[in-house]
Formats: sequence, C-alpha cells, structure tokens
Amino acid sequence: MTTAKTQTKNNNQKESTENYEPKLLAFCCNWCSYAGADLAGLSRLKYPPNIKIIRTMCSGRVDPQFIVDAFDNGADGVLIAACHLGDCHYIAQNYKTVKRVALMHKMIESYGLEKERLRLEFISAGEGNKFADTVIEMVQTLRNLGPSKLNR
Amino acid sequence: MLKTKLGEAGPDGRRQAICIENSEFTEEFDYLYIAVGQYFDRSIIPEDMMDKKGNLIIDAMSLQSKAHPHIFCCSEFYYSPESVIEAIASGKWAGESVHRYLRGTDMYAGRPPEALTHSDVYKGRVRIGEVVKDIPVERANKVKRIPLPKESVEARLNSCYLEVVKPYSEEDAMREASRCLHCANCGVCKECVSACEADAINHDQLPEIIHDKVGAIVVATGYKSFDPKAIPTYHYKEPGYEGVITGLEFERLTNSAGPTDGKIIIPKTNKKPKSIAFINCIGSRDKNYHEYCSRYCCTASIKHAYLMKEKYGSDMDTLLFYKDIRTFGKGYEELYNRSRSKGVDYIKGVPSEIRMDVDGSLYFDVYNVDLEKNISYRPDLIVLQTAMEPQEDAKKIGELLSCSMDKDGFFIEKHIKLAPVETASAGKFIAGACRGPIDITDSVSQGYAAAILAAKLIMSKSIEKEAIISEVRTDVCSGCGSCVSTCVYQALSLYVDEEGHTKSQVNSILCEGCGACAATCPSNAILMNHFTNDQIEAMIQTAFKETESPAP
Repeated sequence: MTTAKTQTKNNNQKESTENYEPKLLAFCCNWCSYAGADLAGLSRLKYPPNIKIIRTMCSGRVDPQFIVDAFDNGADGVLIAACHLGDCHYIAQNYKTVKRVALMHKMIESYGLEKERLRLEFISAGEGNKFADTVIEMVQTLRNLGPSKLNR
Repeated sequence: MLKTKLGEAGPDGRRQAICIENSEFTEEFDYLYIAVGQYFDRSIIPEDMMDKKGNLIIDAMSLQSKAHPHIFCCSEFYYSPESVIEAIASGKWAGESVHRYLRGTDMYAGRPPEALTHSDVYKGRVRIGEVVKDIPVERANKVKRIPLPKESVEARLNSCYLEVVKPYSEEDAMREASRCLHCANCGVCKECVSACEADAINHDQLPEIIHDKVGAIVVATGYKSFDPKAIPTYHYKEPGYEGVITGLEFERLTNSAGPTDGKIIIPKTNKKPKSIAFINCIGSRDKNYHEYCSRYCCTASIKHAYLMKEKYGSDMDTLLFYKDIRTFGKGYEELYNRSRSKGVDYIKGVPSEIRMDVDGSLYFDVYNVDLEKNISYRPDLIVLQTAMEPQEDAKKIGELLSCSMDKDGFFIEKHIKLAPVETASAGKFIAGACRGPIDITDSVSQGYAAAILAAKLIMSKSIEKEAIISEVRTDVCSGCGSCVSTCVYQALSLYVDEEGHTKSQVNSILCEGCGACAATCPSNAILMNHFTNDQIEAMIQTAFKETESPAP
C-alpha cells in the first residue's frame, strides 16, 4: 500500500518534472546588476527566459521577507545580484546582504529547500556576460534540483 | 597557595621550580589574575621527531628535522614563545632552508655559525643567508634623530599597565620624516632658479597632504600606453631590436625639443632610416589583449607617415600596416587622402614576428590578401602604435570614488549617449581617456563638459535630492536601533518622544534611499517613499502567477 502510494507520488513528480520550467526570481541592484542585466540585453546575449527581475535600489534593500515570499509565491530559485564588495553605491550595504544571505541559507534549509536555490552573485554594470552566465548556470542548477518543495 | 624553590640548573641553564612539600598557606586577594601560557599543538608532529621531554629534534642551523628531512620547523615550534618579529625571522630562516633543500644546494654554505642563529638572527644583524658586517652609518643630516618619548617613572609607578615607549607626536613624526635626503639625480646647484623667468622653480618644496572639502570631483586620470613587451613576437626593447619603437617614442623623435633635436634616426646606428614601417592596432582590436579599438592610432600613424613624406619625400619609404583605417572625425579623412597622394604605402595586414637577419637588419612578413602570398618587408625603423589602456591604479580610484568600471577597466558613464561625463554617483564626473579610448579633441570637450557640470553643481544655491528616501512610522517603531547601525550615512538616529518612548528618525537630507534600514527593521516600521514594501511584494506575488494573457 505504502509502496503504491509512493509510486503514485513519484509518477506525479515525474510528470511535473517533465514539463518543469524553473522559475527564477532575481533582485537586482539598481546601480550594478540591473545595469549589468541591461548590458546583457544590449549586447544581445542569450540567457533563459525563466528569470523575472525585480529592481531594488540596493541589494541591501532585499528584506528576508521578500525571499521567503518569493519561494512562497512559486519561485524555484532566488538570485540576489549585488555590486562587488567595495564597489557598493551606498558605501557598504552589500556587506549586509552577504550576512543576510548566509542567514537565509540556513533558514531556507530549515524549510527543507536546498541551499543552492538562493544565490548571491556580485555583478557590476560592466559584466553583462557574467549576468547572462549566472542566469544560465542557475537555471541549470534549478533544472537539476527539480521543482521547489513548496511547488510540488 | 604553595611555596616553591629553584632546583638544579638543567643542560640549557634553566632552573626548574620544585614544590616544597607541606608548605600550603592561605592568603586573601582583592584581585586575582591568571597568566595563561601558550604552547603549540603537538598532535600534528610525528612522534619520532620529539624527544622524551617533547622537544623537537632539529638541526639548529637549518631548522630541518633530522628524522624527516622534508619537515622544517620555525618560531614557537622550535624556540620557546618569542615575539612576533622573532617568529617572522625564524620563519624566513626556515624558508631559506626549504629553498636550499628543494634546490638541492648546501644547507649550510654562507650561513652564520650556529651560535649566531639563535639571538642574532632576531636582532636583525643577520639577513637570510648572510651576516651583515657593515651596519649603515646614520645618514649625514643636520637634523638629529628624535628619540621616542617614554612614559615618566611616576606615571608608571601609579599604573603598571601603561605603555612605556610612546609613539611620536604628529609634529615629531613629520620632523623625523623631514630627515629624508631626497637623493634624486639633481645636484641642487639651483642655477635653474635664477634662469627661470616665470619663477616657477622651488627647491624647498616638500610633498604635503592637503585635506580639503569639495563639492564635486572630476575624474580625469587619463590612460596608460600598452606595453608592447607583452607581445613577444615584436621583441620590443630586446637587444638587437633597437629599431622597434613605439608611436609615442617616435613622436618624441620628431619633436624639435626631443632627444635628437627633431632628427629621425635609427636608435641602434644613429643613421637616418631609409624606410619606416608603422604598425597599427598593437594590443587593440586583438582578442588576446584588448578587444576595443583605441581610436587614436590610425590618425596618429597617418600623421607621422605624412610628416615623414612631407619632410623627406622620395628619400624615405613610409609603410603603414593596418587592419582597417578608421579616420573618423573632422578633417581626418582628408588627411588620410592627402597622405595617400603624397605616397604613403598602405598595406592591409598584420605583420608576422619581427625577425633579425645575420647582418642585424630587421624584417617581417605580411600576408597580402590581393596577391594571396606572403611578402617580406625590411624597414629600418619599425613604429608600433600601441593601444590605450586604463591606468594601473584605476581600480583603486574607482573603489575610492565608487565609480563603476567596465570589463576593460574604464569608468562607466551614467548614460552612454545622454549623460556621457556623469557617473552613477552624484557629484562625480569623468572626462577623457579614463572613461575610454579617446582623441585629444573629444578629451578637451569632455573636460569642458565635466567642468561646467561640476561648476553648476557647486555654484547653485539649492541641490536636487532624489525623492527616494526612507520614513519612520513612529506608531510602530519600537526604538530598537537596528536601523541606526545599518545606515552608512548616519541618517538615522534615536530620540525620545513626549511620551518618553524611544523612537527612530530619519534625516531626509542625509538619507540616500538605499533601503537597507527598511530591510533591517524587525517591526516593518520603516517605509521607503519609492520601491515600497507593498510594491515589491506585489511584484513577487504576480511574478509567477499564471495569466491568461502572457506578457508580451
């Protein structure tokens, strides 16, 4: 009985995995990464359309609540793109993001989500390539991980 | 407490403390300090490296283990706890031994005898591998060295925790620095002072740090010329290849105030060259070095070649090797056409390695696309037009002024078309070659533009502030102060309201609107005027919602 139940569940999961398109939500800092994403577009770089970008003035604006809500609202992964350390437009707020993300990694793990679903990347306004590469990489990671536990 | 006495001296001359039996007694203290000693972790050391007492068996002169010749010990692993400086000294000592061991050279050759190694190596009398016999005499300077001030005995009697040796005061430190001899090449005969009509020379000037408050900064740090040594096939600055020079060096040669009074010579033979080859795009438009076009090189090469043709006519062959000729800008194309009619030879192609013949002459091959074959050229002088690069310390400047940089290391403007000299941070402007390769005309225009924008900013009586700032909801704020420590602008502070509750407040002039405080606030009491929580939450909620009409 138990086996049959597990099998059904597995089948369901398989089904959802087959049509699975990872949903990636990105918070981009207005001064670096958002411009980096813009540059990726200007340079006609290709990256998967699975990403939705929300602009914030600073990566330090990303409230832990936003990350939790993102996973809650169907995101399979969250990318926080910040200025390089030492390059923050607001002097040092990206350091706070680093701390917060370390904390959030622990938190989402306690929710049963994989640590890889939340990623912090430093992307400057000149790094359109890096932005595209990061999105490609992260979408691939999410593909390998399968849908988020909260979406299954 | 327990009484102790000193025992017999051991082989190292130390006497050990021995407890006296039945000597217990009681004493009362106001304070008790426990001096905790330090010792190293022995767990990583192989057992056969230690003697019975736990001391390491090591060759004292090379600090090499006797049982394991590939292990070297230094600092507290071998000596008893010493100062940091001593630890560094013995680390260097062991490092030298490792170097000798890996090279297979003599472990002891040229090193001072064992007796010296223990103490003298620490006192700086011994450098790695050699004994310093001549200690440099104090420099001949009329200013005497200022001794370091010490704390008075009275003060030290009152408190035994004071530092005995104190640092220099700011004045003393500057006076001490003034003892520098500035031993430059100039003999300081000061004849130049009387010769200079503009009275522009001052021999007594010293470098000084000027502290100033400014309202705007124009970054115009310029560029660095690409070093052709990075391309080994051009053999720039290699012996025998003196005939290979850069465009800037050629510019100096043609200058009447230059090293040859404007005479064009081959540096190796001091003879007038019969043919000159100009090679463009050295380091630029090259995926191995810089992908970008340096913009100035085509016109510069054409100008040089044109000057040579005008001066020497058919006495001199001028060959110009190019990838593409890019003579944009006012009057440049006309110059290009004129140079062609004067007889400058334009050859499309990238030269091969510059090789030296048996007679010392230089030659290279270029693949001619039209003739579909390699043609060999043997010019007397080869001029490399090098790329423009960002300054070496541009990254440092960028970090200091928080100006972001592109992948090549040039500063990024606020908008490539509409705000070319402004940066993302207010009050900072960029002009000239620090924001990308540029020619003189454009550089001058940018300089004017940046200067006028800076002037506009500092002359105006009011400044424009972005409306994106934060706001505290005092009814929710619990006055925890988390936001105060988060703000890098000190825009947030705590105050006590009429009811006696501690609340946070925002200084709207200082606030730059990053929103870190809003993210930090545990009670969601801080609101942003733009990018509000509600707006961002709404975006998150709808980001992955299935919609009937998908976004275009």
